[in-house]
Amino acid sequence: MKTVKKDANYYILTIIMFILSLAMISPLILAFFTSLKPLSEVQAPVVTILPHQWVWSNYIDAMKEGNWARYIYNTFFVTAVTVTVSLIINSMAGYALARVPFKGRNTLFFTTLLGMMIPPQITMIPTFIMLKKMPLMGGNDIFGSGGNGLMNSYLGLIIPYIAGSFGVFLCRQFYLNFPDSLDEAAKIDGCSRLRAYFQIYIPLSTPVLATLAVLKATGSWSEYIWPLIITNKDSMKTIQIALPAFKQETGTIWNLLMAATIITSIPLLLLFIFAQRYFIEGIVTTGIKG
Amino acid sequence: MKKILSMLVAMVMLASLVMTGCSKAADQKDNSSQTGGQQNKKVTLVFYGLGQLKNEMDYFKSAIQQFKSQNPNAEFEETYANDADLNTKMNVAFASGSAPDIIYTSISSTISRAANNQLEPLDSYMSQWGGKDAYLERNLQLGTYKGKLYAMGVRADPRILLYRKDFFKEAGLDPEKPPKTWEEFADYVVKLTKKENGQVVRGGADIPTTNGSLFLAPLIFQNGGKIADEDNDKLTVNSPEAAEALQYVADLYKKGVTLVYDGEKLDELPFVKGKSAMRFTNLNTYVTMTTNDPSLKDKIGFSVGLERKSKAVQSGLICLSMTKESKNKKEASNFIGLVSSDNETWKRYEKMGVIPIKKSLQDKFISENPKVNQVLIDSVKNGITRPRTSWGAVYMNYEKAAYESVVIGNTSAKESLATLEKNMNKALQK
Repeated sequence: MKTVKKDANYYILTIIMFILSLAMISPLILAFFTSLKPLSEVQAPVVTILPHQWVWSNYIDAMKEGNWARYIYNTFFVTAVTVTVSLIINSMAGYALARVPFKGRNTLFFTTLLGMMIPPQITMIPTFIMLKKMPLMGGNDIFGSGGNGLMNSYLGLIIPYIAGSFGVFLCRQFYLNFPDSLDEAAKIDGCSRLRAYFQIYIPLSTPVLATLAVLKATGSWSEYIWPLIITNKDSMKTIQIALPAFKQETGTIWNLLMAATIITSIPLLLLFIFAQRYFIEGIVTTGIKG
Repeated sequence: MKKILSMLVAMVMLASLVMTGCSKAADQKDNSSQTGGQQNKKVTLVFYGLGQLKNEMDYFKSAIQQFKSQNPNAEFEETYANDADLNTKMNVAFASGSAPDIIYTSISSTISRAANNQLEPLDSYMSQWGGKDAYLERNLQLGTYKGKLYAMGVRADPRILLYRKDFFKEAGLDPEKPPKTWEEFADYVVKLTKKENGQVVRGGADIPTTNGSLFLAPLIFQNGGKIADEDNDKLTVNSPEAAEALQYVADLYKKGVTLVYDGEKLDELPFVKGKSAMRFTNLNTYVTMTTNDPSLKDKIGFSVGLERKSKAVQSGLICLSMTKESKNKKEASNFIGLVSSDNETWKRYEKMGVIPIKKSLQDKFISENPKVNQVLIDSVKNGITRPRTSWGAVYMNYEKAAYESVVIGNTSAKESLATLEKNMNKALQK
């Protein structure tokens, strides 16, 4: 009797989860089918889910609208560097704030947290000015004038994102979970702080690093406003800045926009699929929902 | 240790202050040296342009190439974006002291920047561009703010009346006689509406349910009203003429003669989908429709629009302007001059179908296609735009609310405009 009740619950739960999953994935499915329709079908008064005519060439046509190889390369490069460097910086900072006792540690941590409390819109213009006036960069002189600084450069796209209070906070919370005896044992064995970080803590950090990598990669890949204001050249555009090209004055070319969106979503989907196990583990261990 | 740290922080702060100060001085020095005009010095012109039409972007790219070949010392850094993104970029650029040299954007955006003292008056450059007499007067008027010219019109985009001749015939109306007055329009709209089981299946005309500013504004002007006293930066929309225009729209809408749609969603326009008989719209709508379905070429008619106390046609104007901050004004002026020349103006007509807004090309343009092009020229000559004031963008939000409260709500037009005025005054005081 008990088994029957459990089975019924199981099936009900499965159905509910299936419906919820379908609701979550339906925009992606609709985007995929729209990407395969001719424009006349997208604009037709009668809405259909499946295309009457499957136009696979939309994907090729979408990639012909602009220098998409360059946009994708730029986005890959910026995301890869941002994620790699930020993982190193954030995990080291988090480790120091969690495991290394020093005077003013808590004050420093709370100062770091301030970064999470200030909206990016407030810091956008000062950051822009700092990067544009970066001395000796992009044609600037020692006083930061005469050139464009870090505008239209990979550094300009990467630098504002490699630090970040959230990553430091996430790593600190993760490293706080380890017992003090681990540090003591390392110290007794003659292990320095740096060696302990690299040889003991980093191998144990896969969940938090995977979580941070997914969050950083998603943030960097999807970033819109910053690349919009820091780049002026077509050759420096990222995919998010290139996508609005399908929104014309005469209307949006939905089928091509959806095709380009699907293509540009694939790397993030793959990343999430591969890092899913660690990502969920990281959420469980740090209590962060992202 | 603490002392050393404090000293270090103080030194860094002092150094930053000195560097910032020097940086400003250096910028000013740069400015003065360049305006001195060194003929052979390499200059980089920064161009921010509206990029919502592919052929328009292609045109500007070719014009820039041509300019560079004529001016080997000039380099261009060009960027194109849609209206919202371009405004974001410009806001940051102006706020950080790195404004572009040349801007190509809508007249409303241009005028609001002129009101914020960000643009260079162009009157003194006009003699190099053929003089004011070479251009259609209305376009120069639209580009003028408080007596100074800030915008050189490149693409006028009037919203003419497009109508379906086949639907006219079906309703027993003469397809060669589109409505000319408010009364005729109201009568035609009812006759052209097709209903099945009490439901509208084809509207008599596109009358927006929401976001109806572009539909309403010309009616206010046709009725002798005004949205703003632009010379004095004052709101004047709370008038009997404007109230009558708004009530006219609401009464028409409530007769059930149109399909529900959002005036700003270009993908949902009933007329484009064959679900409406008339629409005030730009020529691009006609081009898109006839490209998708060439058989529509013979089925769509053109008209300037309606007339009451005066003629008025809602008209977009995309224009070139020069920023006050530009360090390369001479080169920027030369570029605007090139784009405004007769040759380039005609080239834009041939390549993109852009109406040539120069007097010298008017007859040639009309002779190309008298029936349509005369309508277009008349529309440009009667063009009106959104309020050309510092608060134009703020007004649009309040006007949308006022429109909806009358058209789909139960508020009277008079009451709604009084509320609009009150809210606007409050917002402006803030």
